[in-house]
Amino acid sequence: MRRYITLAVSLLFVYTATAWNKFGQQSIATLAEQNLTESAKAQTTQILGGSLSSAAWWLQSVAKEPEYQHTNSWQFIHLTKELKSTTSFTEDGVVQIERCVDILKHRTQHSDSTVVVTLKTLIHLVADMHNLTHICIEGVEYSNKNFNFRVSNGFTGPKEVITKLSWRKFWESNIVNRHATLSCELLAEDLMVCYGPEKGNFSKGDVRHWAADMGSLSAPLYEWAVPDYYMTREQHNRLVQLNDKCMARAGFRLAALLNDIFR
Amino acid sequence: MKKLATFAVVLLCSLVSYSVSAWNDMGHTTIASLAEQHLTPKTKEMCRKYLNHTLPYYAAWMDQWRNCPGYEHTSSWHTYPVDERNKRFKGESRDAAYQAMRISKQMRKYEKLSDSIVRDNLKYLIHLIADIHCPVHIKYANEPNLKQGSLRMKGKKYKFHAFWDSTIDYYHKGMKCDAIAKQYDTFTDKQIAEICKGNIANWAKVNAEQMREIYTLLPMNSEVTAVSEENHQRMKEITIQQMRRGGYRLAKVLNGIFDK
Repeated sequence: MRRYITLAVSLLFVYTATAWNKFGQQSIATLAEQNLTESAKAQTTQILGGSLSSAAWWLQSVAKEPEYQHTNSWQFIHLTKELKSTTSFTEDGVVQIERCVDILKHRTQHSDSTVVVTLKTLIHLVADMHNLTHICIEGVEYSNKNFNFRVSNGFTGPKEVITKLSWRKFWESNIVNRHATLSCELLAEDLMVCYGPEKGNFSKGDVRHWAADMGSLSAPLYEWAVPDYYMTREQHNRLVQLNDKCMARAGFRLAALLNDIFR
Repeated sequence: MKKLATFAVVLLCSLVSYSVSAWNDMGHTTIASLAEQHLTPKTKEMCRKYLNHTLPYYAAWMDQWRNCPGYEHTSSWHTYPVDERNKRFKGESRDAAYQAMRISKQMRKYEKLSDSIVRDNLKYLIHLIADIHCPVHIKYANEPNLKQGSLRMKGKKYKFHAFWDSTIDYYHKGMKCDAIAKQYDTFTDKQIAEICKGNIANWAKVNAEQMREIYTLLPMNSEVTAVSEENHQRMKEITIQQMRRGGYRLAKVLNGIFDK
């Protein structure tokens, strides 16, 4: 286990990670905002001085600054072979989310600035743990690694264009950008139309349940996702739908956490 | 004038790597977004029931799936050929207008179709009604001078088709589809009714008559050195006109199916 964690940490410190690009992070926050109770919305707005969406990119925007570089590893979660969250690795996303929740629940004991930073961090980390390439699973070799693969434009013969992409970049930007012509509000509305009926199911349980759920979605990817893999257009299209599901889960779960904290 | 020449160069440069399809994603999602604002409550509810998504979500679906197994036959549905009198060819199924008419006719009795057929038909209609209004999706089959090709800008070759596919995007840099749709959703009910007069066949014919103009604004197979201010303005007007037509008419077609 120690070796596994060392490997994961060393990998993460050289990689300034973001689970989703700005558009993805803000869309998730917008969906969450639309599912806040009145009380949670009023309190989060007061703390942040704006919407969840306006705070969604903050952690990424400061991630390169020396005082925040340690947060890079928080954007990944680590699961055992049985898809259980680790408790020994304090730089893990799940551990950090639990820490943020604890601070926010006892916010009267903390300074205003700590509460603001913690809330912004929580918004970002809940989104991050729902990106399928930010879930490191013990024994699943490529869940810990970034690698290049090839994706086809769907044509055959001379019209086919094969693009080489990094696996993480594909999940962090490329796949989300399929919806980039939509505003965050419109994408959130769409996710609500499609996944709204599953909101209750998605939000059940606690952060560790959610981590295990994401592990169960992520692990099967690595049965085929290996360096130099050739992805068809059809598969690409289907992965967009899978990613939408993950974004919906993130939005609903962030709302559930905040509604609980700011009752 | 220098600015306009620069505009043309920058615009065409941005399009050189664009693969030819229809309106690009921004064009399709904008038209669908405009249409969604004009659905009756019942139509909106029915569309969401079958699609399980908003209209813009599926606006570019036909482009995304056209080369995937099971959908290859739809690859030829995105444009429509016309003769010198702007008439479509009888019996030609590789025709966006024909397919849109066929599907909307089938959808008149949507209650008798399976949910999956209704869902796919809706995805087709959302895309095809927009494609019919894309200025370069009319193929002037017997007129070699209007055969879409390329043009040269300062010695470099560019695709004419790609230019017109992406004009909505270009003229509204930094904007999202719903914001663009909102900006131009300014017509009165009377103006919208005027635009929506007729049927898909009429709309296709009028588009075929009117879109000949684009070949005079940015001549093909030529060496373009600059675009005049007048032509530049006209290209933008055509873009917005076709976007509005596509959006309002798509809403009309869908309302006609679900809220007769």
